[in-house]
Amino acid sequence: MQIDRTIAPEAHAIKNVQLIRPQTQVLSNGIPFFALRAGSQQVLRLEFIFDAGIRKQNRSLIASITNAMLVEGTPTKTAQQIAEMFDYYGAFIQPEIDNDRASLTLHCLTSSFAKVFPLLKEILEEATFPEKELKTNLDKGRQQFVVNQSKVDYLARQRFMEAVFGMENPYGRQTREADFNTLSRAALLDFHAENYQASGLTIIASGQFGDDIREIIDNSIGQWSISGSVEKNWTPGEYPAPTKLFIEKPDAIQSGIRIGRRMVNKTHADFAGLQVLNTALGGYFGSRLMANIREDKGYTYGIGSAVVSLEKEGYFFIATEVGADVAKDAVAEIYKEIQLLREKTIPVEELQMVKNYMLGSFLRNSDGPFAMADRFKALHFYGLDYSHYDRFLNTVNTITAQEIKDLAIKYLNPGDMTEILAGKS
Amino acid sequence: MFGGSVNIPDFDKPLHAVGGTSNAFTNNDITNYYVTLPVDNLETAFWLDSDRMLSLAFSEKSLEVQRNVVIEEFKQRYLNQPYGDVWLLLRPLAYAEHPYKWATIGKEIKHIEDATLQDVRDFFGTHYIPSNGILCVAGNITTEQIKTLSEKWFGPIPAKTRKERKLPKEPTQTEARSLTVKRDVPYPAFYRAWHMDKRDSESFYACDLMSDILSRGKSSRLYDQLVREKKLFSEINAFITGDLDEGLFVVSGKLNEGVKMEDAETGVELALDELRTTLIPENELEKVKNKVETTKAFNDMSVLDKAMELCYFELLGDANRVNHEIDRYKKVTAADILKVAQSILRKENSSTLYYYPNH
Repeated sequence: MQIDRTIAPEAHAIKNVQLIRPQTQVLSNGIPFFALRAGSQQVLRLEFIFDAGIRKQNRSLIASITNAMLVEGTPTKTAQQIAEMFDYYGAFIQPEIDNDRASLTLHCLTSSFAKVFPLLKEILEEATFPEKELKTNLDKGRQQFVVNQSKVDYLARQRFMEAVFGMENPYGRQTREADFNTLSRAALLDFHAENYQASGLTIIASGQFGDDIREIIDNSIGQWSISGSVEKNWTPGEYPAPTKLFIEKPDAIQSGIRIGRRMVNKTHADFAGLQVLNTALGGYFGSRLMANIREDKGYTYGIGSAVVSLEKEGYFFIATEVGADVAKDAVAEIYKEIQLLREKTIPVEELQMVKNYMLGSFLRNSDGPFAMADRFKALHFYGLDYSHYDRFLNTVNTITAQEIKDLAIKYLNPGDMTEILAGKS
Repeated sequence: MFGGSVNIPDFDKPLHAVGGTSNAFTNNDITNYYVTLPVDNLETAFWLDSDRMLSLAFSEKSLEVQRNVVIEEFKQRYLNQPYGDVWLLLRPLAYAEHPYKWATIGKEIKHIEDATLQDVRDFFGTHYIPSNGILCVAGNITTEQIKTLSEKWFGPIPAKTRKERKLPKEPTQTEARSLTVKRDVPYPAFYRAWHMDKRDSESFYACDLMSDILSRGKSSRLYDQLVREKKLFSEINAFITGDLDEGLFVVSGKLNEGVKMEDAETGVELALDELRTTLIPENELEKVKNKVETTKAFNDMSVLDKAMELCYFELLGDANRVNHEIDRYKKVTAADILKVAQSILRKENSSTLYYYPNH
């Protein structure tokens, strides 16, 4: 039988995913413990998440170095011994930090949990931040920082956050090389005491595991005494006006470009629609920016845009690295694409493609216990519940071309954009 | 491959329209194209991928643009990054004959500029044929459904004759090689590569574990001795390239500020001496094996990773091997590791790149 290859197979509507939700099992002392059981592998991810992210710091580096050094010493164990023990049991212990939260995450076979937990507990209760390890961390960090200064995309990204949020804003304040010289152990201890408190701790377990996990945790961490911590007022400082900045890198053969602005975050009613708008502009391989600047002009290996939600702020950005000789043309084309979305409604077919792509992505990014736990985390710290995803999917399904154009007019005014270019003049 | 095929003008649009996404990667041995999409729309992937197996659209405009894109990729990854050209230097140093001497993207930008549409057609016609491909479908679907779809969409495409992989064998290296370069980077870096056995060999597993002993995690030997204790390096890694043919065992690191290259090199060689002369303790071997086992369990959580693994082992001769890899790692003894350390980590078998800042 001859098949007609010009005709696409019948497309089926994309079904909604049934997100598995965690069970809430508060520990004896009130620390929230969430257990999300899913998947077929006997594996466990256990996250201890503290309200100790980068925005909590008064000077740069403290939050990230404190986080990194959680696993580098206790009264009875050296950094080497700690690493050795986790490694021996095939477990991974990972300090992680972002703008809002700092965490210590354990990945292990569920069967190894009981063996590694005593050490994890020791770290959580008695991290010592040894002077010697601090020096190693600062040396490593400084070198990485200096290496990054020769990357145009890194320079553009750093300067962008500063330019959009301002130096007074915890999200805007960026590291300087000198910061590596002045960080003391005492400062880390203070930051740790103030921010790694039981009252700011959330525990999330995901994977396949029994009830014994919660019990073991409750017997130790569930017995911590909780003193009330005071949520510091959010002081964003004054937001700078949109600006255009150029960072000179005379030998760069590509220029780093970053264009964007402050924007609403996921707690705002417009956010879901903005995600659709962003996807059309630069959020996927078939986006307008990719189609024009990569696939038509060949100026770049890649270009993308994103709307980013932080707990206290939000922002939008477009980022790319292009040949130095076409940097100005690329910037002009970027604005052309933005203007187009503000002036003309998006064709029905393209909008449908964007919608379906997003629905498919939502499925893909909800696959497995860890992804499901991430879905929960993305709500929890914003005080949102699962109806947020219903609203998101509903917006994706029903938003009209006119509504997208209205959002572009409201949020993507070129006059509101901050523009950073790093490269050859 | 994403620029449209013989019957379908655009690859990505119809895929996005049914909720799917796709990408590809190329290394020195294989190219892997993959699609993920909702299972209800699986047939769309068969339709798209079988048509580009049938033939591509091949247009001058598309080639012209893709050439520019790849040139920008070359600049972005290899030229405009600090230490970005390391592999462009290390490969031709380590290999004299074998095509592994070239980076996948090409030796230089001119290679990309000179690619003609005929070159692309010829390469496609030779390698992108059913008899040279492996298809794996993973997900919530029956084997019967996969067979039906495969037969329908790929069945009618002529299998063609697979060109045998006959690559020149790299001659045995008999003398240590080295290259010294100066670049616009802040710190010196050290790279040393030794020839090792091919992927499908017994010693591969011992080599892989040996690299783990040296640099996997913060309890590993190189990190502990050279970063934490002696503070010679700010970062250090040992890894294998894992190529189908005889590959490389590599140690690479960035020196700490003020450290002399000779001291850094001596530090590395002292750590390697230990491997070459002393059996590693049982619990250390146990440690790296446990890590392999955990990693495997985590990888098995993703259908895409599973599909890629199955394809790769089928390429090695038997997809079912995926189930026995762990056993092969478990069988490695301390004596096996001593043996590979002695046979591979020899001066005459090494190529060293000394990478210095301009100033």
